[in-house]
Amino acid sequence: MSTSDEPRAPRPLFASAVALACLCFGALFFGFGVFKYGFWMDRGPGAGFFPAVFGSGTMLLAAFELMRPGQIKGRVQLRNHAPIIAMLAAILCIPLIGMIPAMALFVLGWLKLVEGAPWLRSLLVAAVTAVLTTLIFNMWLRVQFPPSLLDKLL
Amino acid sequence: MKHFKTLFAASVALMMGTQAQAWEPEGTVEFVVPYSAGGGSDVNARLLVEAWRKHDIVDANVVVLNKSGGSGAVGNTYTFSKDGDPNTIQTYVSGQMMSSISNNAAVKLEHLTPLGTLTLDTLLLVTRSADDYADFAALVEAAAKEPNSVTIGGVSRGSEDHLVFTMLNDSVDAELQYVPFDGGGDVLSALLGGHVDAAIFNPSEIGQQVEAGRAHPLGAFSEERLAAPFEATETFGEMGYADVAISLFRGYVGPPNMPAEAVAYWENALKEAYETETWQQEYIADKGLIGRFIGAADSAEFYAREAEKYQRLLEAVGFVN
Amino acid sequence: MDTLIALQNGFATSLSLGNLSAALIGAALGIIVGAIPGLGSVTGIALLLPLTFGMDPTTAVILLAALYYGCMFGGAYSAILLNIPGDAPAVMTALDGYPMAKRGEGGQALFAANLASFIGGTVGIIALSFMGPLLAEIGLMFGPPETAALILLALCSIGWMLGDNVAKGLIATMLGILLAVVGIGSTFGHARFTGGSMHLLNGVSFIPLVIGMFGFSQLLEMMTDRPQPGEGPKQIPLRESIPGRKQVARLVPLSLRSGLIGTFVGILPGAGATTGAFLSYVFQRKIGRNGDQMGAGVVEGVAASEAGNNGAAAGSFAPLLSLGIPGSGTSAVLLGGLMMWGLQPGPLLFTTRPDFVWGLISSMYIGTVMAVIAAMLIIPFLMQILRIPISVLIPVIATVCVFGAYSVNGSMFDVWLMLTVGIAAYYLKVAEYPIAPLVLAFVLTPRLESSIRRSFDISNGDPWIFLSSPISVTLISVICALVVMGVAGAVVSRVRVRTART
Repeated sequence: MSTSDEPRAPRPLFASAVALACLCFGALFFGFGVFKYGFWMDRGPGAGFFPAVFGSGTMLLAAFELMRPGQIKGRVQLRNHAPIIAMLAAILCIPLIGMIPAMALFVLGWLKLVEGAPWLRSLLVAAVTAVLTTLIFNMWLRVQFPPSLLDKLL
Repeated sequence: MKHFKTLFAASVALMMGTQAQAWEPEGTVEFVVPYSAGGGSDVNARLLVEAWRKHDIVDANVVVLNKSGGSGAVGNTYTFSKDGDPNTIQTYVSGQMMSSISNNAAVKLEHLTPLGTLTLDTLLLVTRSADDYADFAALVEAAAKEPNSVTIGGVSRGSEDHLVFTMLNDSVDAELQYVPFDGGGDVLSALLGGHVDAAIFNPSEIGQQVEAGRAHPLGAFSEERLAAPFEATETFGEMGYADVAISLFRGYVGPPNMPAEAVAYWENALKEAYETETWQQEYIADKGLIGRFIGAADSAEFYAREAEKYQRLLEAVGFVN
Repeated sequence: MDTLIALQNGFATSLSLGNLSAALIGAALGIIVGAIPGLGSVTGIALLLPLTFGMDPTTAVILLAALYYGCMFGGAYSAILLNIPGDAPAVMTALDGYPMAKRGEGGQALFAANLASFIGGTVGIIALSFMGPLLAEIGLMFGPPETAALILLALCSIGWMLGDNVAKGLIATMLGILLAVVGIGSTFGHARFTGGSMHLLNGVSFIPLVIGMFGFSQLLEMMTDRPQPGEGPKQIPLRESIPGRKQVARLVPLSLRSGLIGTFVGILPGAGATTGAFLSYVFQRKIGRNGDQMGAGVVEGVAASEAGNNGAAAGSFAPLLSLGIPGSGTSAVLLGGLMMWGLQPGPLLFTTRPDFVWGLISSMYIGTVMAVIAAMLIIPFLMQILRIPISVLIPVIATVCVFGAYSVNGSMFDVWLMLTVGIAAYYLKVAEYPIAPLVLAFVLTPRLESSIRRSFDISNGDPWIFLSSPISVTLISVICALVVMGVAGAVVSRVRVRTART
């Protein structure tokens, strides 16, 4: 790993951002729990009891984390987000060409473009993935996949 | 008179069936089950498909499609989206109709096309033994002494169990306490373990326990007396609580604007399946249900009446505004 | 003695070549279905039930029992190999199994999982055969307050999982609790935090959540944190992975113990196999050798979890067979098979239809034996997965995540959910928040919340109900002791660190 010589400064910033997100998440649950769902009702803890108690707990601890930004070892790099982008693209393709072709294309594209694998190997893995998923999910387990534009055309 | 009406409806349906004999489903039929695999509606749908296949009633390939989530709302919405499609059918039970009212879901009964009903069911109030409470009057008497001290178990708040509980609680001179559980099995454990004083069940859920002497029925939420082992159990109507009754149904619906000939086809397919031995034996008899075929038009009327009743009752409980 | 004779009669009806081969087929199919994330035993049996319609009822029940056991075995495989637990109980298995696989000890983990599953399951079935009715009556003593106390005990035992930074661990636990309250709770009857979406009415779906948090977030990590070609850990070959005498001696006692704990938890109404696996794991960690290393990848962790959840699966049949209470989830699965014999489960089943009950129990023995045989045959193929280069594994795992998340409810919403929680879990992990307590708190919370509320309903608002029975008093005392010991331990160690520094 070649992260050692990179600047350390942004890491506490990242940790603070995560703590802040947790704080907001807790605040959302706390707010709804206390003001909307009812903390105590009909002689017992109400629908808002758990959200309020644990929402406030999350808020307090996250605030505590925010106040003492500690060092964290790992760091987020742009490269870590590649699967997210590729998956988004693949999932958005599902309504167009169907789930199995979309995922097979994803495998092919990933191996070829991101990993730089040779064509033969990429095609082979994509084909095996497509065949296996078809056999298991479609033929054997009869899972109904979301309808696609391609199905309608055929 | 009622009998004649049903007969008439059935014969009309049959005539329509013969007229539109030209229409039959082609390709794959999607049978939507709005609950997960293995549940009551799922078993019902799969057995129905089996009866259709075994007795050559439906030739098309019928595929059961589980669209669970949102207490039935996901399935209802899916079927709704198939506007006018004759090749999509769906299971439709009273609980599903009720949750669409209490959750104010976008797709309600009036958006779907009823095709028919094959089973009816009802509920019972049961205690652990006659030593605890000999009859319902004894339970009310105990409850009258101290409000909310007598506990009645049932499935989820806002369920059919809760609904009949509310009807009952409103008609007695005492405050009973409802205790909602996650599922029928949990209610049964709580009753047998003595953690609640009484509980609400379907007859098929509790029949075996009553026969074994581990449970004692206090009253039936039905219009008429039930069959064995509940023949000695009074209905709440008999006890003087008029209108404290519920009729749960298991029916089938199609998408909005389903063509009339398709409605007739499916109604007929349901009727024929109902008459098969597979259905009568493996479903109705084995599960202790009340088999009753109700055609498409009568089902629509029946559901609408029930929906109105649920709406009124749920408003009374405070679940719908 | 009567039990032995009855059991013998049961075997007499169920042992035949046809039935044995049906069991083997069932077990193999079960392992595959169980190993695919998103498809559990419930889905597997529901999908295969129509196939058994034409069969002889005995054969059908044996096939389903074997399928069921196969699923229990298979659930551990994807947890170990891909860090994607196939079902909820396998979450604990992933904690140790995946680190082992990463170090090249995947084969050992797989064999340990099989051995422990087999022992745990067998302990459970033996307990069921000889003390089924008694166990079921004990289970009835657990009402809402006792259940609440038991789950609270499990939740408090999450403590050790929190890691070095206790505040972060607690935040993660609470995030899990908060996610679990989304949807319509049975005790409140109205929707919470759904944002008007019907997909969230039944709550955040567990399988997509766990696939995202464990599986997909792992992929994002792998992008920068992966061994270069040729420098990865050396895979321990098949032959050396098969447990030797020493290994077996190490695993058997703990599997027996975990199986017993699991069986006991399994009989309690609705406690479930996850709680069983979890408590077995925690117990092993407290008293066992190697306890402090559990969670970092030791066979004890895999074995305790697997023996616990298989024991619980067998235990959950006790209330079904002797009292006719269909437990939630696991035992309801075989109910489909029960119905085919034209039977309604009820308290009289043991006396009126002994042929059936003992036939079923004997087929559970056969099922678990066949599952272990099928599993042993499959392991050599599974170990090939460990040889696949990471560059190929990444897109394939991503595909498995998508198909797994989709298949649970046939819903694209779950795919988006998987993706979202996966990304969130990745950020949390980078900021050093532990994920396992989040997932466990998510599993345990719904039952805890509804049991607490239910207790108040029963007592009409009197909190003393939680101390009204010997069982709940004992459980609450243990919880108090744990909390006091935990806090005291933390203070002592901190003081020690300070004094050591100065």
